[in-house]
Amino acid sequence: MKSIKNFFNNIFKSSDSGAMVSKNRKTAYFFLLPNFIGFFIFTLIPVAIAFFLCFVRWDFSNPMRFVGLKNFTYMFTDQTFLIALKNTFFFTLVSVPSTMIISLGLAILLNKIIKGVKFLRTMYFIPYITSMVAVAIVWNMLYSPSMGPINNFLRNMGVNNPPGWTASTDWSMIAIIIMSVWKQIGYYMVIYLAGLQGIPSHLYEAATIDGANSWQKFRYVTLPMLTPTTFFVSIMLLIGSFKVFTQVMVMTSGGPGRSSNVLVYYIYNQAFVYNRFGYASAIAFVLFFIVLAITIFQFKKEEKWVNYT
Amino acid sequence: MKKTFVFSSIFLVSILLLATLSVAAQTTIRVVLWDYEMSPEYHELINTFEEKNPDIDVEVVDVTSQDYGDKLTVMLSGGEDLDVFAVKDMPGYSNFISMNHLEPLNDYIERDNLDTSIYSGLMEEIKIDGEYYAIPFRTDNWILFYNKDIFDAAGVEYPTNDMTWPEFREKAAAVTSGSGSDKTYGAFIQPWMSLATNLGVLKEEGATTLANGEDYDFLKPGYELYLKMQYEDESVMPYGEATTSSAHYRTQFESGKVGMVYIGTWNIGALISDKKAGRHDVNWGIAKSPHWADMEEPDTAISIVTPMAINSNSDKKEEAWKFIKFAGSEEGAKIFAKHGVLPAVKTKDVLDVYTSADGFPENSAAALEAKKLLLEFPPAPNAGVISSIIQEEHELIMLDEVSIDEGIDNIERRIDMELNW
Repeated sequence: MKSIKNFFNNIFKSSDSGAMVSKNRKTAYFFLLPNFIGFFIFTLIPVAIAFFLCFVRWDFSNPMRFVGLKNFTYMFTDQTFLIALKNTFFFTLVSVPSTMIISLGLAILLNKIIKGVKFLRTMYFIPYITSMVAVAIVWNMLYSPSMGPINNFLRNMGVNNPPGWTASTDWSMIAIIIMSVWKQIGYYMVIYLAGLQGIPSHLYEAATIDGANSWQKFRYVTLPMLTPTTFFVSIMLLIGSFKVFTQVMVMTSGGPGRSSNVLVYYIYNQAFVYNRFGYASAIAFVLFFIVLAITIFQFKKEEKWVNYT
Repeated sequence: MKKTFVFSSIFLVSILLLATLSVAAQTTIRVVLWDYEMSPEYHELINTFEEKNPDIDVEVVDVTSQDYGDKLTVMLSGGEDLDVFAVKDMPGYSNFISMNHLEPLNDYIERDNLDTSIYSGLMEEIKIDGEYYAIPFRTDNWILFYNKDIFDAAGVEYPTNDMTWPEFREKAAAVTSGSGSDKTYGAFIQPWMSLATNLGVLKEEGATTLANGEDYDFLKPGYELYLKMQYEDESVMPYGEATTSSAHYRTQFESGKVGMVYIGTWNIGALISDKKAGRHDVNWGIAKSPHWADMEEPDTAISIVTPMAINSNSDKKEEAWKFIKFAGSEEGAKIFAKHGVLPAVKTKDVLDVYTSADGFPENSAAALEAKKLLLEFPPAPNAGVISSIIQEEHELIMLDEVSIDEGIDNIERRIDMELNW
């Protein structure tokens, strides 16, 4: 009994700590324990199981069959997987820069203290906190090719053949991108606002003294000082964009055909509609490695362009 | 003192035990159904069953019809405590069997001497590898519904029981009028793939089914007809509009803006109960499903079988068996017939109840009959995969994004790849 107690007390000791510090350390670890237990049971263990599932064929009821790397070799000949991969990359390539630019623009515009600015900031933020399902259903109706307001507006402006949006294979991804960007700019605007307000005003004063115009101030003061915020925003957006799912599920079900099928939707389909849990896990891990590679690349490049003052 | 305490506590515990045991004598079976709230026939069926079996209590798990397939699969795979469930479609049925969710019924049927001939051969159609897995309680044929007022206003004769599909197209064009939000469409085509595939299955007259896995050229005539109706005649709502506005045949027909709908007899019960509830006042009639001129037996209709099955993981199989037997019995059939639901048992008595139900259109009993019945999609392994692929290509064809030939080629190619997985 005493030896066990000693063992636990000794874990928290380190070479430069006295009794007080190691006691505090012990308390700290115990505070972290509940969260870590939850993470361990509900995230870490399922991920480990999913990794194991990559190498089997299983439909949840019949016994598992070990198939080695077959899931992965099939994946790269699977036309639908390649379509989903292409659509997901397209989504990322268009939605991430668009969101960053638009939300930065909004933040700059709404950074002044004029009448009604707080109201405007709230209005832009509200779509972000609205339920994605509700927003998707309403946007689907807005996108209706013959009766929706968007196309009616376009026709009034003289466009003869407005796009089919969610009912067209060419425009379905773009329709989803527009709606997704609209929904998330509020949140990133708030983040950029915080970043802008952290720029010391004496830098702008120094720039004015040096004779800089607005564009030069933006390029040489604002942008460099915002790089930590931009770094954070870009990582969050990149990771989030690869996980796009709800909009696709509600608005197009991956269609028409497979034109808006994205990776997560394909994983869901393979797992719960086709009952191929092994294959779905394999795709999920490929997605994981793609996002991991991009994030590691970002962090490696961080030194080069992010200035922390 | 201590002795009296011990004795009185033993006495108390035994009384409590007796009380709980007598309450537990009533078993509860959990039954999964879709759209239970909107279906008075289920309410009456369950009440009658509970009266006849006072020791069984039925608890219904209600799921919306749109989510039914997915949700039921997840519930069964997750081991939820369910005893009985209705099976909505044949691909789902095949799926559940391959995942061992359905209790095989041969032993129960033999033991109770259940006469399967009352189902007119339908039980044989859903037999897999010589084993019965479910009891049919309702069947539905695909027929034509039409709005009498729209036909009267356009001065066009009502659809007859002997129309061809090209005649269907002509009539739809003839009663289409107006434009924009005031438009009256000649017909409404529900965005499901079965609308188009049924026409192909009819043409084949049973020689090929959707589960064949190799050749789908027989789907072409149906698609040609629908594409012409959408884009040349403009007598039906374009597919893209129907999907983005989540249009549904029930609300479309009940809005009074649609002349005809080709859909199953399950809509009869819906139209009758909706009219009673005051949700519409359409003056409606029914006719036999149209056929193709070159068919050997033109009096053919597409039918689907809706059975009820027992969860293989249930621990109340006897009570569950009693329930599904009742649902598929003649008495159960009469309850369904009373509410406008076409049951699986089609004896003369049952059909009389069905056609004399309050709200059933007059002189329409002939529309329900057909000399030959073909299943919309037979039970088959991989049915789920095949129908997903056909549904995806169906969208592209109906939207005119790919040509019919290209779409059918894609179907054949993709099914070939998936089946060799």
